[in-house]
Amino acid sequence: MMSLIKPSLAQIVKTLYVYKLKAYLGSLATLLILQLLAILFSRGMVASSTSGMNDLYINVAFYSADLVLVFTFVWAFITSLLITTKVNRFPDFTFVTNRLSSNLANIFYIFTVSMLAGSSAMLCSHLVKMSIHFFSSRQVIGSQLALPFPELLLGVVATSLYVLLFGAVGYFIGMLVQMHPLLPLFLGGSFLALFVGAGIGTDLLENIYEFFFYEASLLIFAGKVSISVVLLFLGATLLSSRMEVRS
Amino acid sequence: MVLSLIGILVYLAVIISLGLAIHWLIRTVNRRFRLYMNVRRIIWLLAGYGLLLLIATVIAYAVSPEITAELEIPYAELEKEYQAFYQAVHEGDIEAIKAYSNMEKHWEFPYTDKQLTVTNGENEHVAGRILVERKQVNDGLIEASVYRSRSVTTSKGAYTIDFSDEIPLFDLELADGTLSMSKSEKIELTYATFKKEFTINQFTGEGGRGFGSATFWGEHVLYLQIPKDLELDSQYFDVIDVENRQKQVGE
Repeated sequence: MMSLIKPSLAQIVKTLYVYKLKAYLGSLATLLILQLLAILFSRGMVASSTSGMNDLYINVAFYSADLVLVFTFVWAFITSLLITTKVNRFPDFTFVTNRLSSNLANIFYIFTVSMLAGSSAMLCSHLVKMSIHFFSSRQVIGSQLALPFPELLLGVVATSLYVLLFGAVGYFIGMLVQMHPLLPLFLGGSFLALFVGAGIGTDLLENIYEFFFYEASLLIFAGKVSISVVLLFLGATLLSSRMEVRS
Repeated sequence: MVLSLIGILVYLAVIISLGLAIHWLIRTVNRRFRLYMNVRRIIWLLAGYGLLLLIATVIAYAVSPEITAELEIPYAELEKEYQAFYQAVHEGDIEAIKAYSNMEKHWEFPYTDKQLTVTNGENEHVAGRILVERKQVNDGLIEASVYRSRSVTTSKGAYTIDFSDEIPLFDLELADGTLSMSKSEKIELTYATFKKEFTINQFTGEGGRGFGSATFWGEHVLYLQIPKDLELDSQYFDVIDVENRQKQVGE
């Protein structure tokens, strides 16, 4: 059936975005399960410092939500990657849509869930620490149970930015995979060859790692993440426009 | 180079395995959720989770001040104190020892024999030193005191705790011409502390807490005041004559 009204891009993106929020609710449920699992693991897998002399030992275990954060990053990467698969891409065409509106809706979706995932991951910090405070035989020493409020806010912003970054990388790689199934194999192979052969890969990874994880200024970090995310989403959008229309 | 390469490969392997596990979980959960949960139920579930996180945060702020405030002892001060104590023990300077430690226990044993053997009775907690001071008189009384410097474990910016009282003191027993200490038990002290997440430390410059942690183990020193002519035999300890400040190594 043909429609005489041509909807605007903004309207299409909005409709698609709302649709995606509902359609991908399962992935948020997975995030919930993952974060709860990570909280459980955080109780067991901790950094600790042990010191001993003769028959005396002292062990201090450090608890944090670091593992929850890592799980959330991996979740963001995989969720964004899965969005690019045919199963998730094709239903978009039931709406009056094109590559651009589909990509924009995906980007808004990834942005939204990144903020939610980042905030919830940081709030898990209190859940991890309270589980130790109330349900552990270990005596808690030193640090406070609650993070100072400005640091909690800082953590929420920084974690959300990291989640967004991992999501953008996942989305870009997902689109790359959709271009040609063998492309990631080729890229992975050449990366590994460089990696093992000349150590260039190691340096590259180290440089990327330091570029983000060693940045001490939140403002510059936000800038770095924003630019990287824009480039990754732009790259993914360009890649998807080169793909064949639905066959 | 090789080490860092292996390190990164292991790191990658862990990340990839974690990724595969999470990928499997996402697909499984999605499938199950589609089967058993409708949109409304999932929204309720998510809202419940959000509420749980918020309540946890509120409780955390409410109960936080209850946790014992940390002792503030600068690391340098602790180090200086321990060096001074160690030197005092080494030199048999009982006055300096008293300045850096507490007398935890005192015993008095009436004793008129000519010879006394001292053993540590397999007590691992006691440092191998006895300080001996001969009295001016043969009063038939052995006075024993145990001095102990404090045991502190600290991590820069995270915690400092004095756990001296957690270490049990030995007991002394005098029988058949032998002064022996009670057998020590294996003591394992476990504590928990909270670390800020790495996404916070990155910007506050606190770095990895827990690194730069140190434990200062308090030393137990047995100080004996014995009758003037009592012969002392100890194969377990270095015997330091307090008066002459000369070390006589026991056979």
